Amino acid sequence: MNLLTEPVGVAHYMAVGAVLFVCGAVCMATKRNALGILMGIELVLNGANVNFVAFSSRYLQADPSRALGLDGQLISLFVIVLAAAEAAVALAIALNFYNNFSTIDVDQADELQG
Amino acid sequence: MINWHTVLFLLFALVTCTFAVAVVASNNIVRMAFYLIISLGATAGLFFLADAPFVGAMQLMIYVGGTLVLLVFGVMLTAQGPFVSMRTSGGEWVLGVIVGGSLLALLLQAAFSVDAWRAAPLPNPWGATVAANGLEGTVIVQAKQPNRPGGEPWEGTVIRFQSEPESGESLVFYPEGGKPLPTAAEWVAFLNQDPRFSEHLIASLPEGSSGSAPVADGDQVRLARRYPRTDERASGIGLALLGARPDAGGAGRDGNTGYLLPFEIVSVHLLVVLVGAAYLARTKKRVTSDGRTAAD
Amino acid sequence: MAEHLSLYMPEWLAYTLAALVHAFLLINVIAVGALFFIWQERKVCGRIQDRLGPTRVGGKFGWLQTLADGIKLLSKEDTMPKGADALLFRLAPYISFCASFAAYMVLPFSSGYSAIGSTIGAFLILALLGLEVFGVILAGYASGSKWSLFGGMREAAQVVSYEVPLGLSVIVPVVVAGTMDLTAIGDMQRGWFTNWFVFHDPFTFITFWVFFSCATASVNRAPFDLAEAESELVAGFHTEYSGLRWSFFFMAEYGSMFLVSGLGVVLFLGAWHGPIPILEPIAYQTRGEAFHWGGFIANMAGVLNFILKAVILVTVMMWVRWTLPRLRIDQVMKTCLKYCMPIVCFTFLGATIWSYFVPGGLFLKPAQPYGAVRDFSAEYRRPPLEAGSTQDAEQAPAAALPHHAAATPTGAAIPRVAGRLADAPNREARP
Repeated sequence: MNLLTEPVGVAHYMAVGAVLFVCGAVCMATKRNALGILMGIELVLNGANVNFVAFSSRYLQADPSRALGLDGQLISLFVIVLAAAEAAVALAIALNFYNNFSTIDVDQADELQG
Repeated sequence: MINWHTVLFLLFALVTCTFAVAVVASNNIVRMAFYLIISLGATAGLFFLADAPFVGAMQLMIYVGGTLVLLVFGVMLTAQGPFVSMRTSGGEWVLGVIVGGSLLALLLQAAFSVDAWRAAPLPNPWGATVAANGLEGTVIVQAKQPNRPGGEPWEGTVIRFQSEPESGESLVFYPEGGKPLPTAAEWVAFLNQDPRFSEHLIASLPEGSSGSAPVADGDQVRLARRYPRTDERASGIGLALLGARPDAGGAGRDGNTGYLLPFEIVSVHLLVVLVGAAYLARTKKRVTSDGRTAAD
Repeated sequence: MAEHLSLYMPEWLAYTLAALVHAFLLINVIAVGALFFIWQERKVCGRIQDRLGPTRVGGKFGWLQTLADGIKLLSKEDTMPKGADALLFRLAPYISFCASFAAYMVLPFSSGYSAIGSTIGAFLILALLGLEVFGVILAGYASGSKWSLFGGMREAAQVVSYEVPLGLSVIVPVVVAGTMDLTAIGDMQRGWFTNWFVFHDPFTFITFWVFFSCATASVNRAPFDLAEAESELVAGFHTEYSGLRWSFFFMAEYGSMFLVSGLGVVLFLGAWHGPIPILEPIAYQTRGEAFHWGGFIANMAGVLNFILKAVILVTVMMWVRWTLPRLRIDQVMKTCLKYCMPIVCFTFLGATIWSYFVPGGLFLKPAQPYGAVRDFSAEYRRPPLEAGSTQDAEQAPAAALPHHAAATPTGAAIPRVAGRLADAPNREARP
């Protein structure tokens, strides 16, 4: 496959989305910093967004009538907006946590263990 | 030769993936934020390449310009040392890489397993042949265009543009009764004037032909692909958010409703989040041990 | 441009060439612009402070002063503090500059003279301009200095806050025009200066001043330059920078000053149209894509008009900088949230209602776009052509042919009638 001349398809976009998703998931699992976890969430959401946009595009599929069209773009817009909202709330929680515990290491938040 | 779309895609995809991995690999939280900015910025580039410029601009505006500034702000507010890093232990790394790697392998395999998702886009309409057959009848335009819902023909109009990959591409002209055959130059001018055609293709006479004679069998018209200003669907997005679906032929038909209700819900949601985040992050009064209230 | 070229050479080569030409021109705009503006700033500052400003370098008026400055900066030692984050410290100026440069892509210098003719141009400019803040934040953070950190934090807070009223004030002319395409917005303001959107109705008039204040704030100019408040923070975010890296921050600053001024000119001040429509007769005869000298001259005059107006706005920014005292950070936030926001919300509402009931504005007839604004629903539900319109459509090529025969005398070259004017009869222009 000659990558310089061959047109890209949905699968290529999905591969990028998969990398973003996996990076985000690993990031969420391994980071101990609350904000690092938040960044992992952003990566996961973006991986999903890449897929939505790729499926909405008419230029990436052999049969353009199967493209999602505006729906894919609209859903990715909603994802972006909700991610912004989620980040604001998560950041407020992180700040609160920091105010109470003077750290942002989520491993320290184990008071519910009793 | 070089397909710039592919090259740019590869560039942006490489940047996106590299810096996404860098976010995971880095331990310095500020560096992580920086890598995330670049990764998401390159994702916006991917959106532009996928013919979704409005989403791409939105990503730059809200995600990169808003959310990530907020995130960096949070990093600055909660950083204790000059450059905070929290180490992840080696065992966690191994586990993370194994699980993540197998998940990635699964997803990649899934992505490349469906043939329809790998296929190439639009056929390249260069060098179509003009065939003038039939001396009577109306000139009919039929366009089988991928951008139109259902690809239905426009009836009662002027040119038939068939685009069938197996049989090759041909323009079929049916001159109207009693009228003389148009000259090649007239056809070219006409093709370029009809927005249904000229939105997608530019027609021109090949080098050396005068174009003043009537169209004959085997005449050539050179067609160049026009790259339309496809981001005009930004207005479609706006209309869809208001409940009308221009791309689906109006509101409410065939279950294709707009997104008015989700839009409203998201708006209210944002308002609630605004208030909630402000409430959560406000400076709290705390009763100290000697009974006085003090700011936190 | 790439489409024109692609008729003569392979497509990929045409696109490469077109991209290179555009990038070259835009880099020149920024670099020469910065050279000029730095000199101009010194002169304006000098005059306001009753001095002469630079007078020596380059003979008259010291017009080579900036070049001398540049050579001095090049020869300076490139220092980096010990506690700095080396990578981010090195990258930060370039991020600032790239964001400023990228936003130029969609700025039209004359009708259609933009590197990317995007229909979401106004939005895209704001989005790209918003990225400039990252350079400043990262510079502040990576310097490992408290002054810089405070500068960066202030910048972050200020720019994120001011993006909201700035965006809303850009929406007002967008509502009036009915499109986000900067070229179309500019084309609608043709004719006498009363057609400029700033005079469209009282609300746009107010909005222009809010826009200008917010734009000044969003590019960090005095009286909003809290990020580099030298009386409190030494030099703010660029305290630790020296030499060439420092000058990149300045290039970015002057670049974005010109950019927001240009945006203001396109949105409110008639874009590339002069106050009196002298060249309009030859400018708009030739709206096709074929090259025509009349259109070319008119467009070049348009470029001059545009640059002149933008430079005037930049000069006003300088004038403001050297006459007004700097605000405190709480006053900056107050100005944004308590004054700009309510005003611009009010004018947004007002302009919406106004353009619903009085579509034409105060002085002018309803502005007719040149087919650039498309009725989206009509696109998708195109009625079958009737007999009359078919007639029209069939006569059109005949009418168009002589013109093209004149433009391309051999006939062997490329007759092309495509373009917006050609599409106009089939698209309903919206008032």
